[in-house]
Amino acid sequence: MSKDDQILEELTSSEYKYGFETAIDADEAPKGLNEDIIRFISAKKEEPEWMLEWRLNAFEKWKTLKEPKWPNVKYPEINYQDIIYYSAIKQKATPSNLDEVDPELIETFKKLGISLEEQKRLTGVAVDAVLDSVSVATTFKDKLGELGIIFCSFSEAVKEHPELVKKYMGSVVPVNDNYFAALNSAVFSDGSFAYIPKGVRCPMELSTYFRINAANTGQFERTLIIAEEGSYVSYLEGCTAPMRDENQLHAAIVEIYAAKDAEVKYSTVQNWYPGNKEGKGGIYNFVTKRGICAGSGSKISWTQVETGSAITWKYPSCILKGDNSVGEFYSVAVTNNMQQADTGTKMIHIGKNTKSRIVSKGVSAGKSQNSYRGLVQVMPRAENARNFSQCDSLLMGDKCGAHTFPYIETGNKSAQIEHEATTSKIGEDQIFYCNQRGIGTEDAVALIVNGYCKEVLNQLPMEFAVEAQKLLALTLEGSVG
Amino acid sequence: MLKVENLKASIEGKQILNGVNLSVNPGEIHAIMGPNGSGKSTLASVLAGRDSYQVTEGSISFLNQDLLEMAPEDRAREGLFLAFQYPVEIPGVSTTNFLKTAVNQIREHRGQEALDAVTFLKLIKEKMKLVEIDNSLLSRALNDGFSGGEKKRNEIFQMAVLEPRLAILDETDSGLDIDALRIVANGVNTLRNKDNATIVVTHYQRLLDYIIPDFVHVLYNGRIVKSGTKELAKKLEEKGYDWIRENETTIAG
Amino acid sequence: MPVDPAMKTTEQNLRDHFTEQFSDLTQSLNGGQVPEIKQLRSEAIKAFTQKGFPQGKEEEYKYTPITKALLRSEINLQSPAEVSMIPPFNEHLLPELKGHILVFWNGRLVYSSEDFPESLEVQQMDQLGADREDLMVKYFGKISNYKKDAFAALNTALFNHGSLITVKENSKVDLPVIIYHLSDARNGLVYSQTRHLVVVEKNAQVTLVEICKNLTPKQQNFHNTVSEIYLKEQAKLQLNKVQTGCSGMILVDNTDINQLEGSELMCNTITTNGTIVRNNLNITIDGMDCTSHMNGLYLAKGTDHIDNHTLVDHRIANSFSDELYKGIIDDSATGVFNGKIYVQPDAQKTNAFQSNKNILLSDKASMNTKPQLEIWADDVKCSHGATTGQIDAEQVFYLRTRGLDEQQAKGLLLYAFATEFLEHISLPALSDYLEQVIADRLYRKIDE
Repeated sequence: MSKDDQILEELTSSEYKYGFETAIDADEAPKGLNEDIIRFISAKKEEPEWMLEWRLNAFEKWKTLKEPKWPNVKYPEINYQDIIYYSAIKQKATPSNLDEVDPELIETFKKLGISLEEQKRLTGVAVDAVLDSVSVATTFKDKLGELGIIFCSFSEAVKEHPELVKKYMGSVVPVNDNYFAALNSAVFSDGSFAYIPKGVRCPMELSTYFRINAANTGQFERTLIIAEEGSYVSYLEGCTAPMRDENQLHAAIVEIYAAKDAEVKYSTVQNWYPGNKEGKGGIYNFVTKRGICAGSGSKISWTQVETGSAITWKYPSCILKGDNSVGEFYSVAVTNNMQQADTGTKMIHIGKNTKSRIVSKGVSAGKSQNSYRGLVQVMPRAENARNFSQCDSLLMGDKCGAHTFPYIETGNKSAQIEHEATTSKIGEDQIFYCNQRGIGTEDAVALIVNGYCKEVLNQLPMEFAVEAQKLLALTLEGSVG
Repeated sequence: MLKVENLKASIEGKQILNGVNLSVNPGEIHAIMGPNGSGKSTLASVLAGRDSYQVTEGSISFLNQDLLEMAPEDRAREGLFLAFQYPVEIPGVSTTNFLKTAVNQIREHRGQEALDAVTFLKLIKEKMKLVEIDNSLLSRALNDGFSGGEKKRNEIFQMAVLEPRLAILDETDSGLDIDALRIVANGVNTLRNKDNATIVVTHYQRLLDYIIPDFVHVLYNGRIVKSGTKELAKKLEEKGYDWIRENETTIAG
Repeated sequence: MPVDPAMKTTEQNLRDHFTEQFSDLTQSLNGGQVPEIKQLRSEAIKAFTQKGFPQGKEEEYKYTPITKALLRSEINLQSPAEVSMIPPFNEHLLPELKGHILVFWNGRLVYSSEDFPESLEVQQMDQLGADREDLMVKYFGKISNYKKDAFAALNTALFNHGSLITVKENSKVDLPVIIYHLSDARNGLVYSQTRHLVVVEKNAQVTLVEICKNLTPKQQNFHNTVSEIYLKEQAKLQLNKVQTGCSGMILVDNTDINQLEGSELMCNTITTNGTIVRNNLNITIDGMDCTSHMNGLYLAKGTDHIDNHTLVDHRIANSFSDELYKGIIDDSATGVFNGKIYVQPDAQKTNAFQSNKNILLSDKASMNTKPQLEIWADDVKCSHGATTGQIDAEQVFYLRTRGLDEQQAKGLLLYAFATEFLEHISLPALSDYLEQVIADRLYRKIDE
């Protein structure tokens, strides 16, 4: 209940409040994409030769691939030569402690409500903060180190833990998996890396906070989480960007590897700048997220609250390879004004007795288009696979659209697959009932929408749940007249 | 407190209220009775501000303000409460969360500080006893999957928490068994004081055995055709609404 | 142009073949005199030539490799020759099912009842009277999906036979109209196309039955048929599609139905065999207060492949549609279901429901389902559900406690699962026949 209280108290109204820009000197690559740029990025990051080769190989693959046209979204042609692929704030290569981090930066993250100061242990969250292309600070490193947990920027992992990076990078999302994955593999700048050793239960939430700051840049970060046998970790990801008139590209990759009996919970509150009411500006969010339940009894759970971005293209997926493994996907996707979202999941059942659960709640308002796209695939050898999917859509007004594209492919007779989808609207009688108890219409809508999304929001760690509920209210502001 | 004058209202072009006059003072309990279709629920809805009804004539003043000019939430914030005949289900929204939002918005309207979690919790614990409702009801989604009786009790519980100046109970007795009826009535009687007033809208006399009205009005064809004391309710029970009908015909004739 | 059997045929060969066939046949094709129809045909062949047969990842055919099957088969792609002698066909008709009968043999009409009531007019596409020209111009090709679907395009460009059926205003045709499509490969594999246009005028009522049969079940005949059906205001139609004798066939059935205000549609489709059967059932709702019911049953065995694609496009407010498709997939067979519901911005207060239930009986059976909702209006009630699984173990157990053995129990449950479909068929003779087909199939399974 105290969760609800916080939320209610924080249900305030304002425009996109993360739209500020920080004036920090940046070290940028020239616009465009070619081998030289990739060499430039790799050199800037002082990468070993194998990493450069990996990137160049990805770039070759990318050139052979085509941008996917199947998502239910429309946007003008992207000129990939008009993007800056690397932008780093000018600070010492790797700050060894927070005192070395530009105070301007700490201030930026403070404004976002992210504390980089380790003293604030109360929050109980270890943060890796990524501004534009570079990780600026990772907190609680030492404390986690005592347990053998590695939590650092991706660049650091390349240097410090090359054996792990080499083994797992690209193993879940192959370089040539799709157009954006290949692009990311060629030009990724930074991101987070987490390794949880055998039998360790990570005592705090690990969190990455992504922020696009510079203009004309793309952000291409990469996250790799490795959970060894019997380990547990809960990982949070948040993101914001300044308000800009031009569209900016964000093409990220998240890979999760879960060994026997390991459990990884990955939560996202995605709040990139969605563009203005007329659809000008906003982030193109083309993200590949995938986890493999490699060992038996492992579990990967994705929770996402998607409120931002002009365009979202994102399908956090689970490959259920280990017997008795479990995949979950909980999603709230809210679109308003001119936003377009095409998001969902893939659950690939390979092992025996694998289970998956999909709960998707879409809310469309304004002139937005909101699509759920999902695949549940039961391979012939996946005995006793179970899936339950629930895809609900809530529409606000007759200018928006809600679409569901569920693919269900069953190749084993012992599978039990259930899929349900409904469409509804907020009832006038519900709003009147709230009004009669003294609750204004805008708050009534927020209350009802949060109720509708409850099953998903309940999956989020508490700090995130509060932020998520506020975001829902903000995103839908002015959508009911 | 409430003054309704020559109120005429219609829904989808169909006239339902044909000039209702009603005056309610603090401390009073009024019962409005009448056969089905006489306009009882319409009157309750118009007072609460449901916008599917159009007021075509007349006026309503509530605490010296023009009620018809006010949005439904402002009426509520000024202290008007409607216990719905058919309480609405809102999935995923807990009763507690819902009430906390309501209480604090009302407090904000009155320039009071928002209640913190602890004080609020204390408040609802206290009110729960009044209507004998279970703790689990608070964490369940609002009216979602509630039985008819639970919904009605939840309405009275909300009334207890929100402490309205004027409460309108719209057919609160319908669908209640005798135990629930007693609990509901007990809640209403306990909450009664010299500053608030209650309008009980009902079809049957039964509820009035438990909530003793100061005045009884008979609504027929959208008008109050007879007013009296609780004896009138008894008489209605004995003779049925046909008695009114005959009476009305005689008057009209 | 015959395809050289020595060469490995490619999709491009096949495509070129039909494109050339079109230019060769332009003059002899029906409706050649009516400029609108001529225009339509050339648009259709253009669309077909550009698009070609569905290949690879094409979304609408991703689970149904129909082009591959066509390339593998050795179908004579020449338009079948004129029928010189009427083959005996009586034994292939359902004796108990009485009605106004039309029999097409390898795509050509070989028999027609003559006792049509005054309310019913039936003409053949290759013998249309001049008085039908207006009707053709008004309705023909208007709702067919030939711009997007290669098979509809091919049919529109190259069809030569089929019926134009009209039911007069305010009338009821008492007996059903029964159309048989018989494919016979005794003189070589057959490729045939038929094209029907049905107009049920205001407040008229009729029942249609279409029965498709392969008389030479070991042979892969290819039948590609398109029907356009118009239900005018308050019209009522029951349409029964019977695909119970399609072993060995490649069958593509495109049925496009347009409904106007207050019309009522009941469409029942049953498929129990076929090398590849693909049904495209497209319904557009262009009036208020329409009701549309779609029921489907597919029982697939062996290596059969049964694919049902349905689309209900709600364009106008206040209508109701509901859909229930059930399937039982056995052996190495494949089932495909794709159900689309569109609710357009003007279609407020629409109620649209869809359900797809599947049972897999064998380790090698597979089922691909894609229920798809696309909604652009807020005040609507829409839902879909899809399940794939086995027979409910609890139900089997219950029956066993009542003395049935496991096989009997399963058979009974499968039979009950399947025969729910029959409740929607108002012709007892047809219903009885189908009940027998279902029983033979599902009880045979049990006896084994």
